Amino acid sequence: MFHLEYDVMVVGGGIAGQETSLNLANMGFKVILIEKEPSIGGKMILLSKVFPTLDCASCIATPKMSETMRHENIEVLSYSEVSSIERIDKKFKVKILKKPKFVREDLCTGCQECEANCPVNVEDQFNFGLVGRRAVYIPYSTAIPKTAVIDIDNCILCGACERVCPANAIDFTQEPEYYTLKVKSVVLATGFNLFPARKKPQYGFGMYPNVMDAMEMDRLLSPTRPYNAVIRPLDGKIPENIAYILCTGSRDVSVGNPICSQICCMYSIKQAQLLMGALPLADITIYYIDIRAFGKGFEEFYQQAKDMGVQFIKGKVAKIEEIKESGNLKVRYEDIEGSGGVKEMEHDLVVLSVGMLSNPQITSSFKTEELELDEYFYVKQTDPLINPAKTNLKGIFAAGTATGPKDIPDSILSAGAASAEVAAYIRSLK
Amino acid sequence: MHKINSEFSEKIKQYGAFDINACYNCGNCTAICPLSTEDNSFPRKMIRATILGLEDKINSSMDPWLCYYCGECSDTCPRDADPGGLMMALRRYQIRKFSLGKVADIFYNGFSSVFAWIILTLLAIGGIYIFGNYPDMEKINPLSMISLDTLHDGGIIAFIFLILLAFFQIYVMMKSVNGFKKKSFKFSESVKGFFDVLFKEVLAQKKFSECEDKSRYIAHLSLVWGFIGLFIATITVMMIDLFISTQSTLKIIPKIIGIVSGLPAIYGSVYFLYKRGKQKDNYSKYSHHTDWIFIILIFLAILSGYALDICRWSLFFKGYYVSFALHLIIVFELIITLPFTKFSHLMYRPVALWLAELKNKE
Repeated sequence: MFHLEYDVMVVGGGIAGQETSLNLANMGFKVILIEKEPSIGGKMILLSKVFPTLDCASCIATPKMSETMRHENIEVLSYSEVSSIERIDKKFKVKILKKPKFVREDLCTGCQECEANCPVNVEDQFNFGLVGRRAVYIPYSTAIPKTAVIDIDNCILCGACERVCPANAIDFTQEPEYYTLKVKSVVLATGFNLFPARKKPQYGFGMYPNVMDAMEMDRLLSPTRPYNAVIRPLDGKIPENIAYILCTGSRDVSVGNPICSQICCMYSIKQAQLLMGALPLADITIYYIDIRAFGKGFEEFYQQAKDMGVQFIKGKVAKIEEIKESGNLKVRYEDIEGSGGVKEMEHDLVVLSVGMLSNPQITSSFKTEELELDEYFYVKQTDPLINPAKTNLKGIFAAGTATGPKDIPDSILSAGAASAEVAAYIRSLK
Repeated sequence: MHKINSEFSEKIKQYGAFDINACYNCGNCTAICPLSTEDNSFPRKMIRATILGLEDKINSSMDPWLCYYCGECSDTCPRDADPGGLMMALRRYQIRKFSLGKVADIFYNGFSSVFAWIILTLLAIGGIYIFGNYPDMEKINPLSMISLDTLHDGGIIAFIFLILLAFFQIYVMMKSVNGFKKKSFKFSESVKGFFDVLFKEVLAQKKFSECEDKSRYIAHLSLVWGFIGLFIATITVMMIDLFISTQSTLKIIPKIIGIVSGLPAIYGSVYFLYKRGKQKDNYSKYSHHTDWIFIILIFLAILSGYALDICRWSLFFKGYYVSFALHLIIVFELIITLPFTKFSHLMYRPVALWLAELKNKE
């Protein structure tokens, strides 16, 4: 099943990692794709629709995931992590840890019989805690590979899944497996972390139930949404007056992240438009510092939201207070472009448009040399204008949001650039 | 018409507020400020005016005096622009601006202030030397060092000087408030506003109490009440001396008032000295030399007052007269420079609060 040598190892199975793998595989290179989650797909597969075209995110992502999985030149290792990367001559020796799923991927058919019989309920991380899942679970309905995984930390080892599995795929004897491979080149498509909204205590995320982050809202709006309705968390009421707070955790020195997330303006405008469709009677207010609609079709998308009746207010919200009786929220801001002065506005749901933080975890895997990061801990592009995928290490490339905040089109573009650079590099080795 | 003057924000830097140009006008500072209201909103407008160099707008604004530098704006500023620091810097700037004949310039320039303080101290020492006598070493009698008449006359002169200056500078301040003179306020409303400010803000410091950090409010309130008590004690002693007798046993009353009010005043001044020394919180990170001189003088004034009492009880005559002289020098310096130093917030802030109150009534 496994070769011991590949041309390229791609780390991260999000949209950029998939795109890089597919491009390289189509050129004839042998690719191994490492994904830490049980399914590839990254963050895009969890989204509702994408801006500025309002295309359904899963309709774009799912075929790509499926193609990645089934491509003859791509080997996908899900639920795996890169434990070390060492340079040996012109190649890299990489060690991969494959975590045990306790389900045999070659036997599992994805019938979900185990899920139906598992007695354990825990928070579903792919729905950001909005709903629960079982201890044995398939991450989401569009997961690829669509095989179950047992969350052994929460499993009570009752054996119910083992008894009902028609394929006899449950295997509690699995142990972590280590693979040692040789690759010619590595592409880091390790993506980003969402800004944890708890780090901005003035907004009361985690304290006031009706303050949610935008990823949760995107789940509520997606085709695979948990409640099949947009409701607010406290009492299940259909919200009538929703506020968006842009730049939560971006462009903010006080939380240590002074840079723009490049996405939160546009995804908030997208969600506002979707909400206008889902809840035609709802008022939607977007509080912004600046609207950065810089991409192709973005400005028009912004104007369209205005025309649909979304209210835009310039002014950073400083504080949110909960009104005890109703669970509504009072936001305090300075009405800069209006009549001026401090204003307080009541909303029944507040969505925090959280920004991006870097995900520099991979740096610890480099054993013989050091991967250079920029001042915000993204992978440093040593030649950002001419070779955007190049890092300080020869043969190591980066794609997508590993090098800095990007939206989906830009991530795909950067993946394209990375694949071309990798191809040129590998050819130059011969 | 306003002209943009980019040099103004550089000029303001000599009073603090070094990072103000980082501001991107998000309004977070105004919105987080517990004292900012719909009608009186700050500090963002002041930042904008500073960056653009709209001096008229700044001179005519009372906003710097409505701010107590809680520091919440600076803590949460997404650009680390320290808006509270700017408000503090603008207060220093306005003290200079409103002062008679630019006398405050002397105290706000580090170089000239050194000379000014030395000269003032020498003047005070000289005054004691000329008008005073060699004190009675047999028993404690402060009036043997400086006669009651000298003290009384000196006090009256200083008081008249202060009142005149204060009225003049408050007049300058009120005149600079944009459009204030055009509006006519009902007399009854002005009086009511005056008493509102006196009770709520001067005596209870209500606005200060709205800051999140209550310990600063308590320390400041202690200082204010301590000083009111000490002031009452001083006046009462003078009254007893003048109208009853210098030997009257009634003097025990102001003595007790003085000792009791000294305690909160000591607490307040030590608190601010400690905080400024530690430089941990936003409002104490940067201290202009005028801040240091003000708080040190206040501390020394109270300390020398206590030294007096301790020497009196321990019958340490020499110590008593030395601390009495010190006490006189420091109190003289504090009072005579009041309109030109940080101490002047004592008169500017209530007036600003009063004007703001009248403006809101409109």
